[in-house]
Amino acid sequence: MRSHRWFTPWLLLLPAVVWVLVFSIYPFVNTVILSFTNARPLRGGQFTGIENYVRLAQDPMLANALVTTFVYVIACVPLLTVVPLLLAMLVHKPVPGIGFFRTTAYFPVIASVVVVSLIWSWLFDSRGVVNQTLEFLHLVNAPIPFLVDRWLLLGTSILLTVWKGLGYYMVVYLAALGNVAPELHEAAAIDGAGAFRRFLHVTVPGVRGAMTLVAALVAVSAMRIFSELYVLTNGSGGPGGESMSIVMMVKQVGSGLNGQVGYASAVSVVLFLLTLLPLLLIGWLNNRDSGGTLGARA
Amino acid sequence: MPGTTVHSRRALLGALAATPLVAGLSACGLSPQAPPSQAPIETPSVLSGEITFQTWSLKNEKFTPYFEKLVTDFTTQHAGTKINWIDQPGDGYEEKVLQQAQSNTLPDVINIPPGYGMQLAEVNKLVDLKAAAPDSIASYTEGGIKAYTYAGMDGAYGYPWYLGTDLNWWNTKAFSDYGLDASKLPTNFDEFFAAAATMAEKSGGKMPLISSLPGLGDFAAAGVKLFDGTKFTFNTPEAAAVLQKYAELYKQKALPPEVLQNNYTGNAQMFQQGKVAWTTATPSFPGDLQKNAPTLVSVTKATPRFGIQPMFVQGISVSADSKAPALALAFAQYVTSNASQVEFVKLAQGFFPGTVEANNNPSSFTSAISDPLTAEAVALAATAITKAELITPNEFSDEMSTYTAQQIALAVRGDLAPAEALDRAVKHCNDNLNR
Repeated sequence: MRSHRWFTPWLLLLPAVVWVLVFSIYPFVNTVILSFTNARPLRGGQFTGIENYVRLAQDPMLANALVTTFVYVIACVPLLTVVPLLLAMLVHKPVPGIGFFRTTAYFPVIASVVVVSLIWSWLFDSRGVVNQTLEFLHLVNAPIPFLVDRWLLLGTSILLTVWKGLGYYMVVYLAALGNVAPELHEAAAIDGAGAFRRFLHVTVPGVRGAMTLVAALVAVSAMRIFSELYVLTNGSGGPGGESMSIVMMVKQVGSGLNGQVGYASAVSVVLFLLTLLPLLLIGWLNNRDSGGTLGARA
Repeated sequence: MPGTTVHSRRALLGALAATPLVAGLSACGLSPQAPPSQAPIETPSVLSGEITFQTWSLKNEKFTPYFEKLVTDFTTQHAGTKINWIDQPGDGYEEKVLQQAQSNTLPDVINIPPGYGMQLAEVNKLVDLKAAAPDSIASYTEGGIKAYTYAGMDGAYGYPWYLGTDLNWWNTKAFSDYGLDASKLPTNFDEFFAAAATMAEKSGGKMPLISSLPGLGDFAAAGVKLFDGTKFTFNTPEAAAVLQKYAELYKQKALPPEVLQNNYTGNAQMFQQGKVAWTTATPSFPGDLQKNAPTLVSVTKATPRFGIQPMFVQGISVSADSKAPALALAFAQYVTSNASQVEFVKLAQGFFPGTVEANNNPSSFTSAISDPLTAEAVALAATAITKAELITPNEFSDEMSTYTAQQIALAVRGDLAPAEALDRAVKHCNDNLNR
């Protein structure tokens, strides 16, 4: 027996649908449409077909941004998937005062990324603490150009991202570790498994779902990296724009009264499509390893 | 009725699916705005109405009382008018102005630099002041008005409000410490480069002299024509020679590595941190030194810039969308009147008014300066401002500036031949000019 009109469920869904339409679907569709135009702020634009995409394929700025972004993903995903797990295992033990260490490990998460990046830019400056210390210890003769050499800058920025993200993902793993039954560790120990084998065959399978989630979150964040590189390079993207990420490129070409909104939208669409790649890869790897039960243990 | 229900569901789902597409097409800004008429604005005998006046990063302890008095004086003189003064933070101003223009909420009277003015004038968002009030233009300096006069457009789109120029600032102690004569500071580029090489050598690279990458101003000083009215032309052998010189000096450690990041205010910051011995800054720089690096005040000396003296202009424009254009125009003229500007630059020490009358009588605003270093700098700048020019073409957008600086950084570091760096920059600028 029907107790409501056909549209009642839709009415209940309406707030959420409107929210998704206005804040997700509409901006996305608008971005896709703009990517096929030469629109600029305040000016008329015309549809230009795939011209922006053809231009993108030949743009050395995008090539640099892709390298920067992919290096970021390749470095950050394993580091931020494994190191927080090890840290979580350390602070998981019910030792007196462990709460202090957990809190300390979480501190960088609370700090503003801009403030932290500014502090790091002072630390790694040619006259910063790091270089002064290295010179004082006679380990180097001249300052190391941490903030202007493409790869050193990228390394510094990745280190900052990892340091800042450790605490956050540690908390995710702490929750997951709580679900790994201690009996399994005890049984494995009785069977003669050492600490490393227990980690590999008990802990890791027990937190596989959390690892997949963390890897996916890190991959998406790394693809969209902006603040750390922006602050460390003073917004310049480094010499030649070599250390610019894809999001920094969107800002450079698309912002301001004279921004190339159409072209920046095309870069955004490419970023969206590229962001799907690591997600699909992680999903596929997890599916393969768990025999097609993706998410079942998450 | 089942059939009706299915039909209605489809209609509802179809409407939901179509909404973003239709909204996207309508909102993506593909329709240009029709130009408004640009004709004289009649000033009624009695002004009335309400307008908004927007300044840029001027609401603070120093300037707030000035603006409050300015508004009160005007509204007292013109009973029945209301001025809402708002101020925007320094960062993100361009985006704020863009958002206001896009949503047709541009303040009636607005403080914008010439570059923003050109973008807004091109889409008919600003009143042509030459057409609206032809007689008002003569009160302002020629250079100031020229800054708001754009190629391909008739008229002037802003009243010059305050002008500035840069000076060279030297750390004379560094000169003495590293084998240079502090009483003979460089007066041209050749002496400057020679001093930079000597200081780098004597200090073992610990005290570089140069604090910024070369830019359009340096190329212009070398006799390079930057823009011919339709395209950029600064990829010349003369400009490449300037870049080559900087590349050689970088190798000799006469520039710190951070210069390659080309931060706009980075050079003055590095000077205050004692990392370099030279910077460019406005005559108000002693105020920053007293606040941030008081030990440098006694060893810092100012001299005029080499080559072409740069001119920086801030102006006041009137929105073409104003609902009270007569009041907006009258208030814009009031803010930029000689009396108002003189009072303003008495507070903004180191800057110059945009009116002819005040510039003919500099003592009307310089007499308020008590700090000797600032007074000396203002005296130098007062001479320089008469010869100052707008070096950077308004067509040179922030994006072009960033890209050009990125290529220049590669050339200075020695990763790219100077000529190739300039060719890349010019091609990029011209491509974007035509898009």
